[in-house]
Amino acid sequence: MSAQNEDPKALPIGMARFGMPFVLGFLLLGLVVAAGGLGYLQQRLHGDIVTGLRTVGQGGPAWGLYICFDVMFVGFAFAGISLSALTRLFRIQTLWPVTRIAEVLAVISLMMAGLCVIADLGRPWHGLINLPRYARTNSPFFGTFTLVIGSGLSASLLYLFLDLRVDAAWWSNRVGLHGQLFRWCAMGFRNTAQEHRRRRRVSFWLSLVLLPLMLISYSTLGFVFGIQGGRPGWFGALQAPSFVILAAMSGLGIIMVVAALVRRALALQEQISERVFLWLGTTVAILSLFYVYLIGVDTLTSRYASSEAQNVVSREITEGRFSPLFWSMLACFLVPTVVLLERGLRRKPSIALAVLSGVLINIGAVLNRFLVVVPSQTHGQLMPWPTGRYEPTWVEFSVVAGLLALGTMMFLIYLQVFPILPLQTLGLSTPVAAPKEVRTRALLRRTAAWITFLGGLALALLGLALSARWGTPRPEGDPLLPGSPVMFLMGVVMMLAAALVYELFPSARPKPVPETR
Amino acid sequence: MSPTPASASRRGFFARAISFMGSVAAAVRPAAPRTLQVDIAEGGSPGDGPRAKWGMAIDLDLCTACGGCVVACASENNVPMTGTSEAEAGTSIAWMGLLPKAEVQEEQQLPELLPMPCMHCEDAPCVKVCPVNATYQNDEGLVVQISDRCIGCRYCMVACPYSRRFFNWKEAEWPETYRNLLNPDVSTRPEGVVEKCSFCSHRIRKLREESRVAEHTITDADLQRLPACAQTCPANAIVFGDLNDSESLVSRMAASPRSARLLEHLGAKPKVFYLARERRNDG
Repeated sequence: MSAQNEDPKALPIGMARFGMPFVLGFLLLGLVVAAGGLGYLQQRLHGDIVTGLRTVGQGGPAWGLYICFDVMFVGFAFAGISLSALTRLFRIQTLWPVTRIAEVLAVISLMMAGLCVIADLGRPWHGLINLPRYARTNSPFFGTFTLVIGSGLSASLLYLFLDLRVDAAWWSNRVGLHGQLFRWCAMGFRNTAQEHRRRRRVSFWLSLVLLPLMLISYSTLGFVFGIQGGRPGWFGALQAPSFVILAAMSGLGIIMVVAALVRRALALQEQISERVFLWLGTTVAILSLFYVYLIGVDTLTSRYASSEAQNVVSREITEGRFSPLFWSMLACFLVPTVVLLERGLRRKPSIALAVLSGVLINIGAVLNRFLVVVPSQTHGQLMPWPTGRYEPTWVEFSVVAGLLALGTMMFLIYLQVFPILPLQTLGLSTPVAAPKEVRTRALLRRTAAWITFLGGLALALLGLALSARWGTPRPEGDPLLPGSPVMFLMGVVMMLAAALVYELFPSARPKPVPETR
Repeated sequence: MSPTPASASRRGFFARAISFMGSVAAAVRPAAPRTLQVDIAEGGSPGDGPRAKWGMAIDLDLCTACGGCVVACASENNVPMTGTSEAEAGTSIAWMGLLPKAEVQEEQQLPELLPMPCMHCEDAPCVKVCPVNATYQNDEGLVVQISDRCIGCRYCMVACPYSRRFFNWKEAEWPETYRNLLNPDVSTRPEGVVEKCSFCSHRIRKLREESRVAEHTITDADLQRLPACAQTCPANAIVFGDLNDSESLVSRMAASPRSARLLEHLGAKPKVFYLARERRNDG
């Protein structure tokens, strides 16, 4: 066994390093969060008039920066979960070290996405009460609220927890608070071969379920825009797939950046190899190329023989008021693409270039989201209302910066509490054979998991049926039972929780564990 | 400049003029009290026979774009008073608005200013997207907005192709003198919600109640000028009524060859009909 584990005071790599830079950085981030809070307070006190948003048709877009960053945050989560799931499914050994980073990022991003939506709502308290009560399946927001924020968040948390459990069990003989936390989090994981086999099985199935779930839920965010027939510039079948591609590339970009920073700050040069960046970088470059292709297709379609209004929006983007943003965006996509492809083809990783590319891609992604959300509202009028303009105010900037800072703070807190590298990367998780007398109660365990899954499925279907008013003459209306959207959400969460039941189901073993390994 | 040969355009003019005169004649014909085809007096619980389908017709040939409808609407519906600063900032609210300049609709011969209430679409994009059912279509085809349910996500605003939805960007304010004149029949709306034209649904309700008490049968004549905009219009260009009643003035206007709806290609099936302006030789 590793010497590190023998010392009960030693903590996993990178944890509990409260150096001066950490404290200073934390304080600085705290200030930004406070500024965001102040901005939001202004919005609550004086109304949404303090934002740059205005009535559509009267000079403004009704959606702006908040929606852009909501899409951005959910995109990070989509990429994080997808990366982790694909790594597990295809056992991509190179990417193992960054799976934890990706998962943590996903959980935090989804929380920030939820806050972003709340910041956008005119009446947040009504939103928090009325959405669970009355959410309608007609609205693409149904998908956003139930699947993206609700199921996505619980799925990522579940995913992260089940993975962390293995680590926590390994480190559970630590002293002090960390030890207590690890012991609680391990939930009886004893590092036996059977448990690892179960872990692999669950991991496989969960990945298989999560990939389509994330794809569908993220697509609903694209549909929010893509299915609006009355909004030239939004309406189009390319919207959802474009959202997915951009989310993947910007999310992988941010994972590259975070991984490089973590690697540098915690001196993990050995554990997070340069090949990680080669993999991620090449993937980002290919996705980016494809995305630029999609932009081309979209621009051509909206320019060739389309409606006047669609033409106007497209012209405004490439030649008009928004053209500086558009061409900067293309540069932000193309420069990293060339750099990363060159590195990838020559198989010569460069972490500095990967970080730079990750940052550029994400700047491009912010610009792109802005160009998706805003111009259609300001210039895509089908009626000859005056065109609009949008300049976000300090309130919006501070709220968005506050959310980014809050997310970063949460990541830093995570770094202090749980290991950022999966045990497997450290080569520590060697399973031990279980003692002979342990009966795993495999049949019971499976039955319980299946019951949970099927119960969740039934609940989800019932919730969906009641929300969608299946079988009633008027499908548009209140859910047949108030709160049935929550029922649907809980059903989906319960289906996923079958994994939890399967893993946590207690084995029949009367006496306590002699040792943790 | 029209490339159409003079004879063809003259023929078109005569055809339109005849149809126009026909519709004017129909409009001025005294509305004889008669029983409506649809029982609009009840309007109560669903499922008891045919019910009204409220619609509006605006004759652009009569409209002088005086803006009376805009003022009447704001006054009737307690729309917060706004001035030039709000208009410039893009935060003013006008349930009935005047569409500034109709360049796009050249071929439809719309005037420079077009009165635009909510279109109360039958397949309304705003109704589809509302996540909490704060806006829905009621049994009589009105697209209703419930401010108490609204969470202020503004999805309906971006979905409405006619841009006929307004957000309360700040708390509504009225001058002290005006506050006592607020219409008690219409509730004021809080900050952070979306609002829109209701076709003066409170007046429909009031008419029903008063008719019931007075044992009066509601006729089309009672309805034609019911909403505040229609009541105020000095040129009688705005007509309200039941589209399910084929004899009602609004139905006949809607059936006129001059009648068209805005953005019909979107398939939202708006229930506001515009009767095209007659272009005479002076224009």
